[in-house]
Amino acid sequence: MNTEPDLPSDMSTGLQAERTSLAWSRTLVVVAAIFGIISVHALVTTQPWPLTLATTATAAAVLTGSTPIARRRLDIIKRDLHRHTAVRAATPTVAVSGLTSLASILALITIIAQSH
Amino acid sequence: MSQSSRFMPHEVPSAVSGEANAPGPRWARRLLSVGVDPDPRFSLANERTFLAWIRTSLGMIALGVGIATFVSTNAARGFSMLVAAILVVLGGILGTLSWFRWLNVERSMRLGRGIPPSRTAIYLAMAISVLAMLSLAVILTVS
Repeated sequence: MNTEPDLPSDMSTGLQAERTSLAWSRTLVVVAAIFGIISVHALVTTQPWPLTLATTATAAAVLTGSTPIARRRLDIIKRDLHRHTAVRAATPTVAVSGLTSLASILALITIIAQSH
Repeated sequence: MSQSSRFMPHEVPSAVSGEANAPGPRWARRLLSVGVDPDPRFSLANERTFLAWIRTSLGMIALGVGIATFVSTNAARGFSMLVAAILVVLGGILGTLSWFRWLNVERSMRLGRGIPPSRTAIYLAMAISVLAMLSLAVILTVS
């Protein structure tokens, strides 16, 4: 027996925009934390200072921008929903995926440098 | 059949197929210029799932860096550094794969197809299990 409730007929989006915006906030805070961890690791293991500086600066930039970015994402989603157009997410998803790859590369560099 | 168990194209006059209605910048329009606009709730759910995968990959990177940071007094230094490097690389790969997963799901929804199956979670679970078993073996050997 299907116990799943039927969706409202007006296709209401409810709190979807807010939940998505909060997901962006959480993710960006985690991104900032990862760059912070890499920065501390680079500092503790006495890595070249440009690496420490770059990771610290990235952590600070992402942390500072997390709230405005999430707020802007909320506005864009609400606007797209209001206009009945497709929700646009290609650019922010590529950006955060790129930041994750960058964090991975920087972390790998610090680990390799530490092991030598 | 429940309405939520299948993809419903967003029923608005503007929801027509073609590049002109596809979302985002030019390169995104090229990738997503298929089908019709899906229900925005599904697109937002896809976006949140992508972000959850990103947080998973960031967690793996953090674990790798954490292992590398606290390994200095460990007897099994070489193995620990190897595990750290593997976790960091896996995290980076997962971060990239997440975006392709998001794109595949988005395209499938625009075409009105079901969500394509993903083996990433299975491979991830297997990789973590293997790393955990190897780590346990090394811990028992060293201690």
